[in-house]
Amino acid sequence: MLWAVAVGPAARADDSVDAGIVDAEAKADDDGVEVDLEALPTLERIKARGELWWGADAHGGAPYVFQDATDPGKLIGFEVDLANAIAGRLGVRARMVQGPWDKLLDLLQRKDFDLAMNGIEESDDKRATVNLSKPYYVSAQKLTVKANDDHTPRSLDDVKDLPIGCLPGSMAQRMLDGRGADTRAYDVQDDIYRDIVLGRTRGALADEPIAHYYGDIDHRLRTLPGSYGELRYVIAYRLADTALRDAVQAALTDLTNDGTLRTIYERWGMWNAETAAFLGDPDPTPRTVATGFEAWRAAVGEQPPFLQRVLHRYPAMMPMFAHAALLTLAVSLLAMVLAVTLGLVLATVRAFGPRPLRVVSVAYVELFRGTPLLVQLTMIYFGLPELGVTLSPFAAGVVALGLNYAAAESENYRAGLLSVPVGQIDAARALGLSTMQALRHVVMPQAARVSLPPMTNDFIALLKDSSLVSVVALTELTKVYGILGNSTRDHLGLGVVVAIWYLVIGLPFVMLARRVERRLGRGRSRTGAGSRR
Amino acid sequence: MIGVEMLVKRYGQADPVLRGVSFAVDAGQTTAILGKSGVGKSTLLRCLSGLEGFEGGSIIVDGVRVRGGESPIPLRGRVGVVFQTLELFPHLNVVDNCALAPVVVQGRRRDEVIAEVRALLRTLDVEAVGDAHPEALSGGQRQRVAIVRALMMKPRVLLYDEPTSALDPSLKAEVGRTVRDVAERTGMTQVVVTHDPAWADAHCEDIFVLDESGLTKTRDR
Repeated sequence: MLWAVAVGPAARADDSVDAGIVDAEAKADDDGVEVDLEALPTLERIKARGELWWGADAHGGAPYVFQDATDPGKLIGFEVDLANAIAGRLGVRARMVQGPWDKLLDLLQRKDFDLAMNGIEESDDKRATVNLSKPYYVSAQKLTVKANDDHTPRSLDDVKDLPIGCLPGSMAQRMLDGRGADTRAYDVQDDIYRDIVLGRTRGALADEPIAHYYGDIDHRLRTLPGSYGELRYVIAYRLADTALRDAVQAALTDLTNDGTLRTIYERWGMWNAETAAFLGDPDPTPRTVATGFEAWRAAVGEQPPFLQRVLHRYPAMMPMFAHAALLTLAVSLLAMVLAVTLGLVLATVRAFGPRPLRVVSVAYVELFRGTPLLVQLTMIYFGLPELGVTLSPFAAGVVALGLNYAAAESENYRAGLLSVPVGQIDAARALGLSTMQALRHVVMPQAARVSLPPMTNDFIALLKDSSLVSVVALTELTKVYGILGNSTRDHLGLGVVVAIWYLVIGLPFVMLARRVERRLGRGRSRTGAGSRR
Repeated sequence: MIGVEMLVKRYGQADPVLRGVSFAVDAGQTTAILGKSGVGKSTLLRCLSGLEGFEGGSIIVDGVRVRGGESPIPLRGRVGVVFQTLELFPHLNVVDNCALAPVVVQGRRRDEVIAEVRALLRTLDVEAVGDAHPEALSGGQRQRVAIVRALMMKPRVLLYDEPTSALDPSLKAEVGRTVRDVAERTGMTQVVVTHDPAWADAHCEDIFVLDESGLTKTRDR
């Protein structure tokens, strides 16, 4: 069942209970079908499956795809509405697949979902690797600064040498770099605006919707009137998927003609002159109240009192955190099993094996200990498919963490093995024990005493390092914290909640290790005098 | 019982440590091999116990012959060893220390082995410490436990490596009593490698002296 968690999409946009979270039960049902679907062209696969899998990052926040602050289990946003509308035209349901925003195009190539739609800017360099749709939304960059401050820049012409925040790899970043600003790239939208208020930066340049949702709701900030550049959001498909592209394009045309698209943009407060002109709509003025934006402003503009959050908001988030904690625990436990097993082999080979194997063991340890886990994880998840090995996010997470920690474990066990006097092996051999028997009954139990405390430490470290697997589209604890933090702008309170979760899942293992240590330590003094006279 | 003929042992390309050592030990006797440090006493003991192979000559224990260049493993278990540092297993209690090899190597039933261990501990007056871990024992108790552990494999000869080194006179006498107890109560053939002529004189029957020229018998009772 654990492996079922790994395969395919991580969330369903239309499911209010477990949106944003892997649903093991639901996925188990998919697995059987998925194999048969694999051979079909994407559009036919979507129809056979009855679901359009679209990739996005809920961590990116409002108004694109984000958790509803008043109902944290629910995924909302204008792109959620758009995906549902498109899927409806195709006669299927939409299911959102969570992935890191800057990795969405890589995940698309890996076939983790059918298309990517998440504020992806149209640009020529993307066309080399993916198929881009016609734009579905057009806007510009807006500069936001501190309100009531005479020393802030008044336009983009004033930003030279000033610290200005933006999203990494965005059009805003290129514009800021071009004007000689001290560009500061942030992964999370909310942080960009928070740092202006805190005085760490002097402004923020971002897509108009972002400036609207994160800048305009704070009275301490002011978004300047000018617009910069033209920004076009497009849907990305795999190069071969022209049939899917055409079908979605037809759906978008229908949605434009019957007014659905305009209704969605008005609801989210995004209807603007640029989009109206692009879609051929003569009326750029919104006719209805932006209910989506007003709800967002009401929910996050002013944080509810802490007690109220503890009593109402955090309990409502429990299912998301619990799912994520389970996933974190599953990845960590399986990775640790792999690390312990492989580490034991590596250490034994290094201490007792023939020379060529010893060299292999040393090389392994140096390679995996000496390179960042994140690099290994990215290579395994995005690199191996080039060699024909495509691992699920879950399997990639387990393998990468396991291989990496095996190096550390190997050194632990080697220290343990070296701590056993060579005379102990002589004694075992003189009694007739084979090398393997001596290792198993005499050396290992004594080595375990030395190796266990650092091993416990490593497991806790692994539990925390498992947060890195969110780069391969696994929604574990830290990722849920990021998503909810950005959707509610409640970073401090949720930070405490996620810290408690990590402690709760880690502590039982610490306690278990203490018990085992006491058991192993029985009959042994602190000096470890052993049988010496 | 134990016969050594023209034993040659060298490490790598260096000069041989043992160059043509020959001797024989009679069944039931306690024999000392005396020698200064560095003459190869410990090497001789490691060869006899099957822990190390050798280049020339042969060793016969109870009819089993190992020649130079052959695997010494057949000697293991036939020759029991009491190490200078005893090397009791610190993670096991006394009974488990003694029961490990018969159970793991010979595949014998554990309850039957344990009964035998307790009987042998009784024979050497250490039955009371059966459930203790080695670190809780006195030096003399540890030595008797190490002897019981070696005897459990039913060796034909028991080797002691420097059992009295770094001990004060009263403890040396206790080691002597232990060796005599083993001889009297089990009839075991024993070879004691030591650098202590006075102790050998007091507690052993036959005495050999190992020096650069080889092994010479200096006393034969």
